[in-house]
Amino acid sequence: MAERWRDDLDGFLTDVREKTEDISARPALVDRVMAAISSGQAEPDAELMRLAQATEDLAPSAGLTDRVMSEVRAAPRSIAPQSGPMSTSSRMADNLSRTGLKAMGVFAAVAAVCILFSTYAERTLDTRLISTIDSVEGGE
Amino acid sequence: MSVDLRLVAARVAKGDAEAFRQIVEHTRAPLYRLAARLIGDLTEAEDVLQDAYVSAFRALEGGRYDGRSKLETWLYRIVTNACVDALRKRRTRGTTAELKQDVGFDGHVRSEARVALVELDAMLSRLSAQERTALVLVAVEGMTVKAAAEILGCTEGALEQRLVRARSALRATERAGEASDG
Repeated sequence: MAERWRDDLDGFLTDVREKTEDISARPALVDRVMAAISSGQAEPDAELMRLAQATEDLAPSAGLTDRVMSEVRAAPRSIAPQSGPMSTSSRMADNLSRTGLKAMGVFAAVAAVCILFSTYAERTLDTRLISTIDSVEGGE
Repeated sequence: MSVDLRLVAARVAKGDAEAFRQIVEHTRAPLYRLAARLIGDLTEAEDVLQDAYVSAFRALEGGRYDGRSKLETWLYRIVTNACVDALRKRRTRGTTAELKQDVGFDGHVRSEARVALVELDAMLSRLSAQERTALVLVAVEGMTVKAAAEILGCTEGALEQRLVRARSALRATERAGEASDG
């Protein structure tokens, strides 16, 4: 009984498979898929292209070149490593290196004062020790 | 007549400051358009461009242009960096598009262009400076990803990522606007 039921089912499924063999997607499906994929990009880009066209003839004021040239003439001739276009990060690095150099200068000055003071203190101590020893020896 | 700006740059590097005028004259229109589209404000764009030109001049006379890239590409990089700095400062100050007025700008600009610039600024206002720059260079200026990546000093993959994030943010904003309208 079960065997017969299975044979009927298999026959039915075989029949369905043969009848649906020719089914295929319409050619337009590929276009629709591609359109759906690119629509995400196309939506904002189409609007941006419109705004790009509308701003195509933007031009600076006539005096820009003269203003730039007067600044250029007024600017003192720069030294290569300290001049040029800098981003915020490179400006920060530049400031840090300048700060570092200043700190090194201050440190060197403090170190020199310390050395002088220690030399002075050592001499004073030696003198006092010698005089103390002399006075002790004199007392004996 | 086409001018080899690298040769002009070499003259500037040798101390001929007046030669720099030729560079400004040849590049001011596209660079101003770029600055205005990036910043969204005519007066501020001109100020940023002026400072960028002075920086470029100092770099040229200091021998910091090595000639490996085209001078135009190098200038685009300088102006783009200056605009990114300006956008970041603006974000810190909290200036909004509505408050801006083109006071002091004496150039001739059609009213449609002014309106379009305000629209562009409003559209891109929610993007980070990096995303905004990537989108303007590619989708507004029409550059290839490779050229834009060279200007921004990043890899093409990194630029593609910024573009995906920027477009996604724009779509999200648009959908949010449609939902609130509907």
